Amino acid sequence: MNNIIEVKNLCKTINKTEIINDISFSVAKGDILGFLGPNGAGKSTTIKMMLGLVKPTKGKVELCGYDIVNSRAEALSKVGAMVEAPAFYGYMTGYQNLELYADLYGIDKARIEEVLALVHLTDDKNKKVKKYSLGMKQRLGIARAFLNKPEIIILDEPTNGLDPVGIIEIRQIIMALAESQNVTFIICSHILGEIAAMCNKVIIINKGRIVSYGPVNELVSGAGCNTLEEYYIKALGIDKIG
Amino acid sequence: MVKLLKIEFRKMHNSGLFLAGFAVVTLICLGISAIELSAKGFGIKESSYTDFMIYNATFVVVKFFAPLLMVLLAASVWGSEYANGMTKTFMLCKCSKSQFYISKNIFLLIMCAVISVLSFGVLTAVGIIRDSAGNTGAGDVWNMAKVYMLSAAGLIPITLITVLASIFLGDFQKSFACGLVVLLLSIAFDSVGAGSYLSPTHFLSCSPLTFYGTEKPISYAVLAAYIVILYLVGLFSFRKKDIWS
Repeated sequence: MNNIIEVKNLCKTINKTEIINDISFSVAKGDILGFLGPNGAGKSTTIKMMLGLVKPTKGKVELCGYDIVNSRAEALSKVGAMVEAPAFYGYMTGYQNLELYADLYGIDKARIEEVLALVHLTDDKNKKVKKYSLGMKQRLGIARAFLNKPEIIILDEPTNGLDPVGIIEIRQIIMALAESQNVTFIICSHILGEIAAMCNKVIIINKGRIVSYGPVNELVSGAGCNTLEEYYIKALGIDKIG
Repeated sequence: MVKLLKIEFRKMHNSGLFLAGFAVVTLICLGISAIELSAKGFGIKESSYTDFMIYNATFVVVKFFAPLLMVLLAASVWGSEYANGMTKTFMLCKCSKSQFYISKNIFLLIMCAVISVLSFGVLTAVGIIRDSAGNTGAGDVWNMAKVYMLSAAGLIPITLITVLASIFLGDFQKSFACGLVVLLLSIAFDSVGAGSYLSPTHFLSCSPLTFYGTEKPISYAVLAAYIVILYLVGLFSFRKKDIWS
């Protein structure tokens, strides 16, 4: 089994406080990995370290065999990501925003049309982004993550602001890409039902440590639970969610 | 890096800032020229092109308006992009932090040159038109261009100070305020006299006559040191800094 993502002993300390404490995991090509945890658990920090935005205090991240710290450009050339709320230039159209990234990657303009169609934004491509709704910005962020035909896609709360139909569409796109093109996904979400429906593996993180990691079905059935939500409550040792 | 530089220009073009910037620089220069032409007893009303350029309008532009525009632009290119998450977004692409830093600063350097050339062009046009004797030669313009551009080199340190503030503060308003405070303090320090060559805006503030041979070589070394140190500290800080938002 080829691991396309390797995270080894990742630590982050800020002002002597350990935010992330010795996190290690690997993801195989074509996996859809759900990244779960309560607010402040360290999900976003881990994702940011994996993408080279934040430097780890200790540990190592390899994406497609490239070290994110030492070979940042090579590692990120095969990655598409959307971290937290997607940012765009409001005074530019959706198409113009994607064009900036297409030029940076040397991507054909036809690919822009392709990804816009994928997220159903073709009709609104010439609208200025400042006139987009939250859901449309979210779709455009996902389109940008898909733009460079990445081998790894990391999405932080991809269904934020989407209506129920939009959530199902994004789920279908993710599952189709993973199956047909063997794209690897890491998805952070608070919607446990979404993670259960999409992901074949899951990591639950709390207070900067991995609490649970493995195939969703094995973890849930192994703990004698019926749903991922039930398992999540059990793994975190809490009474209920929220 | 060329691609990143192109992106900066495209952003500027799409935002309409090129047109706005062109209009602002031209109007400021024309406005100052108009005030100077109409205000009797204000400054020295010389009629020759060289005297007009040296004593009157030009150095109001170079000393204050051009650095103010550069502080605004640097805070916008760096601070504002940090704050709205665009720096983070670009850092998710396959470009190194150094390439990103260098391309943005080359863009700012080009804008320094554009503002300087544009303002010089407008003021030269006004200066030649008002030259009642009509004896301005190409040599006069060339000599003044050299002096003007040397003065404009003083724009680089104040621009880099604002860039550095943006990297540390990650916010447009704070970065702009920081750049503005340094600019004003530096201009005040320039008027002190002894030791004024140590200020980052010394070249902007000193009289053009000082470039005709009396300027101390140490001031050139100080300018070069400011540029190199600020540039390297900015690069090092940006490479080291975590991008959280």
